[in-house]
Amino acid sequence: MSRRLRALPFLICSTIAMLWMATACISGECLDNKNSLPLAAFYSSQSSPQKISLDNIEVYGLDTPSGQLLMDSTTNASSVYLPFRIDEPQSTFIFHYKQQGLNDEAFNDTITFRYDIVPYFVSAACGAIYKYKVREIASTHHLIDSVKCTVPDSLIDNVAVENIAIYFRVQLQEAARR
Amino acid sequence: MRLLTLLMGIILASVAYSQHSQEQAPNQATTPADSIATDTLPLDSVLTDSLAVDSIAVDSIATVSPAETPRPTRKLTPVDVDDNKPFRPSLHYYDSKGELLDEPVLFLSQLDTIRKKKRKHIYPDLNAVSIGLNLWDPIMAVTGQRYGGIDIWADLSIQNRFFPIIEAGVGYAHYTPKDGNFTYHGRPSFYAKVGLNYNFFFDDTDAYQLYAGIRGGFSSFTYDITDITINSPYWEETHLTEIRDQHTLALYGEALLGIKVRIYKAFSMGWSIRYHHLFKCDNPANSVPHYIPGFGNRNGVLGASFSVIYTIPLNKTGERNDKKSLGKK
Repeated sequence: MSRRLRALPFLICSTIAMLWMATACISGECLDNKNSLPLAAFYSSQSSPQKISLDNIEVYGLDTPSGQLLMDSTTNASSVYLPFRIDEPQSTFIFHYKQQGLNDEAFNDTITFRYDIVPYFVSAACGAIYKYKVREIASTHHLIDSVKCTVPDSLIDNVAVENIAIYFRVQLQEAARR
Repeated sequence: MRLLTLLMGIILASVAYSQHSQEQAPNQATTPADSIATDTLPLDSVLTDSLAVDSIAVDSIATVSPAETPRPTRKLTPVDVDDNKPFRPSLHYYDSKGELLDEPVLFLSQLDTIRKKKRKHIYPDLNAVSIGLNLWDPIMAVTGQRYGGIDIWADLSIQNRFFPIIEAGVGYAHYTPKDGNFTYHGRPSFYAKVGLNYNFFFDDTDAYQLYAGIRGGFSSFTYDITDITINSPYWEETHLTEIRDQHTLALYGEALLGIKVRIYKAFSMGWSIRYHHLFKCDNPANSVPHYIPGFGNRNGVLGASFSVIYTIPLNKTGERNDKKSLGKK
């Protein structure tokens, strides 16, 4: 057997090793959400909007079967997930303020999203989802100044990024100077 | 000081030259003619020549009794080599063609006229045609792979060194992941590749090949995603939907390394490992293709092939070379 042919066993073993490594390197995990989940962040409505955290506020969907809260008054949060309905092309969310003087349903704000539902196959790992192309946003203005969709083309998908910005009329408390 | 040194050098040189001059002319008469006998014959013996000793002096040496004077050592002076002669390198005044040189040189160099012997190809230009059937994906289907295809290929052996090749096949997919919410159904779609292999064992027996190659491939394919289940747990809603008639075109390339081994007569088997790269694949409006015929998993980097091959020799010369090479083994 020539010298070159003696390298064949080495070639075979190295190739099998490469195949094994290659199959191990193929990522089979979904790095994003397995469903589209709009994420709304809170901002102040000043000329230079700043991200803010709110407490004593409850957020829930209108006419949810379970009445489950999306955000309760005990948490101090700067954003909240607002899952859209899939049976209808619109979803409405209620913002109830629990602060003294505002703890009344008359001061509740509501935000209604109207959108197109678009089925989309992302990948074998993430599966199929619905994308939401937001057509219209309507809100009351007790404490909410405005609501905007911050993603390109107002198309919300399964990527875990901020999709909606809610601007509140608030008075910022300046940090104590040391 | 320098002048004194120079003067001493001149004096020494002149002394040496005078001594050399005396030694250079041994035939000159530096000794009295009547004192030395130049040969070994006694002067009073009968000479073989016609000259009488006592009448004619054949040379300048006088007839003196050898007992009276010591016989000197015979000195031989070779014609070609003289140790006392100063070395003078010989210079070339003319070139190899007889042309006068501008200035004399020590060496005349010549171009090496010996030419490299042109390598003779062992195998003819059109050596053989091979037809193969790639069975890699059907084999992998047994292990659980839920996509793949089958293809047939043909190559032309040029001097057993270069192998232009064309591959054509059909790919399909039917994949329902264990924890997924869909079924991916790739309709049977055509793909083709063209490329070239290079055999590193080109001057060895053609029963074995170790080759490297490149391919360019394309596929136009259609697929559906069915049995899609989408839940909205907060609103307690569930939808069943599907995405159909997704069509696109893919262009890709491959670099590969493989071997081919003759099993019996004209039948061979071979495998290759391939690195592939997707150049272009436009996504349809509602999906990203998961499987690309001829390429494999869209996110995959490596692939492989395993083929059963039948080789048809193109001329008798190729066949004889094959037998000779097998005979040597």
